[in-house]
Amino acid sequence: MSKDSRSVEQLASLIRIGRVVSSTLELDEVLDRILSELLSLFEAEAGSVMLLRDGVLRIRRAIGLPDDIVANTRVPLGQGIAGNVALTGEMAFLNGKVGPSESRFKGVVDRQDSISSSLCAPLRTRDAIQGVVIVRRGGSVAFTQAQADFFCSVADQVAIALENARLFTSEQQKSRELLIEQQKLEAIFSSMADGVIVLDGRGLISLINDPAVEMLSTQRQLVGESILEFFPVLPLDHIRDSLSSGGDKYEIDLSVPKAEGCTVLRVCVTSWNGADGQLEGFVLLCHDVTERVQVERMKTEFVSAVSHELKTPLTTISGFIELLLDREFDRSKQIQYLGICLDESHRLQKLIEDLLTLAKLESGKFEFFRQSSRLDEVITTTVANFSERYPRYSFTYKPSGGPVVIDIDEMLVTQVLVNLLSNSVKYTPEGGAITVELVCSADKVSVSVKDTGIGIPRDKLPYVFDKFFRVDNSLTRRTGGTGLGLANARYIVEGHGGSIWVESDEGQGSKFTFVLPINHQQDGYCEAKG
Amino acid sequence: MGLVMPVKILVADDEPNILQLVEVCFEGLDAELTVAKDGGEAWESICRERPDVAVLDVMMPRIDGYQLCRMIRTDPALHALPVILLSAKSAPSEIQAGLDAGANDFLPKPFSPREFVKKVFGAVEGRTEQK
Repeated sequence: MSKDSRSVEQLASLIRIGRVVSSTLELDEVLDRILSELLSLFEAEAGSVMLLRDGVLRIRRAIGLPDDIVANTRVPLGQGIAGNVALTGEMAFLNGKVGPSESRFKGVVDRQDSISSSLCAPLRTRDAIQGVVIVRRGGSVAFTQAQADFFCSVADQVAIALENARLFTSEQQKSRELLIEQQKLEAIFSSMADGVIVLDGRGLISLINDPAVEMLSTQRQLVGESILEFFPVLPLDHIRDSLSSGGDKYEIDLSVPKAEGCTVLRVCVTSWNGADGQLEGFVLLCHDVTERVQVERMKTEFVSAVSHELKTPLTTISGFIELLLDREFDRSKQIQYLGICLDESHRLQKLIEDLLTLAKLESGKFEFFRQSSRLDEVITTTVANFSERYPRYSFTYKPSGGPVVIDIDEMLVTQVLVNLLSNSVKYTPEGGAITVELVCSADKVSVSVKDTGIGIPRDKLPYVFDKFFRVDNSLTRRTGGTGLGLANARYIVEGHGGSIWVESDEGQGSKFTFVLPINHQQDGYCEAKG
Repeated sequence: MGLVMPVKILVADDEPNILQLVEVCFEGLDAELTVAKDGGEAWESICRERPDVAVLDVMMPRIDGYQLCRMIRTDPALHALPVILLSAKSAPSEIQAGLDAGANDFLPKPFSPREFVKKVFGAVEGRTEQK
């Protein structure tokens, strides 16, 4: 072959290799085709591409080498021809067999094969040497210097192929990671109990999850709509200014009207910024706090009511003490005013006791001290005590006929009875009748307290067991109630697995009934009258 | 100077013990005290007795102190009557609600009888000075 025609052939080969490199990103396919091109061009018997990993060269692709060599060859950096080329970055151009004594290449192994000449060039990418490409030829025909130079150009093409494949693999990996991240985000987005709304910079909805759709309670298409359609009071401009000037989030409570009342949403707004750091949009995290707001309001109302209840007797006590200190009163007046103070301090004491009981019962951690008790005897004793204490009332007890043994916290159930009887005394004029009845059936006992008092207006009935609810304050004041007796009674009865209710006709009197279940395994016996 | 008439005071509260305390407060003073145990009774008494000053508890049955105060302010014959609201609830919002309803003063419970008497007479004097 003439020099010119060889140059043309080399150029054509380089173009073909270039095409191969740019035609596919599958590294092994590229290497196979390049090696095949090289073998033909250099009239070589064998060729291989070795890649460097962890300081060791391994054959990635080869033509003309036995499979076991391909699989098992490990060349440490700096050992042998390939190891030295990879270490120094200089190509090796060897004509004639290189033996173990060749000083330039340490650790050369005599393979006892027919190979006599080799070309080995480093595969240099931007960052480092990735490996080497080698062609070997047997027989007596040596490589020329021109071939060696050309081989270097081909090695650069191989290096480009390597770099392309690395970039491609890395991109593929990134895409896979992105996809996983996206799937993760989608899973979080759709499984969140809180509503999430993503807005663009103008406040138009670009993304919304199902809970948020439900919170907005609308059938409308939401994506593309302005958030102000749903949250008209959301101060978007103010939020934008606040977040643009360094604020990390903005919180606001918003009311959303619903068919059944209003929902209160605590909306936490954060911004998302573009690559230039400019605000691109908003993320709204919406948490339904309706219940929490209601509980907070009830708590505030309760504290306010307690404070009112405590301050009222305190006014009387401190007022009379100040008057007694400031002025001269005769002995009988002094006794009268001190008596009022004493009554009011008893009222305070009772209120504090009731509050503590209520707090324990409400906490749900209250431990009932249940034991077998004779409920009929509890009622007999309690009614007798009231009869003695309020002689101007007529108390009647209708027992069920026999002993009633039931597993209860006797002290607390007595408290329920005392609270119901006190309530009847409060709302029944003197001379009125109060009747307690015990009815026993197979699975429950029922105790009712009926009076001939003023009764309860129909519209007030649902609130009778509420804390501090009073039908008529002035009557309660006269008899020193705390407004907690019936609330506590309800907690105690419900704590026993029972229920309590009231029936009343205004002006005709009221009948309070509580029912306690009988546990046959624990309760001894209940003799109902036939 | 003509004959000085005793100051006519109406006090409304649903707490019988507080009403009794108020009665003792004004014993021996130049005052004619009427008490009412709810808002309805207080309104009837105000219309009938035309007191010089009304002291109204905020939380009362039938008509509460705020409502009663508004009724007084919108009645041409009564609108200038000095009103002192009395309440165990004395949060700033509750005091403001009382002043918005037209009360001249707000006395939180528990109150000192000395302070109470001073405020009541002070309210009447204030009105006399305005006349």
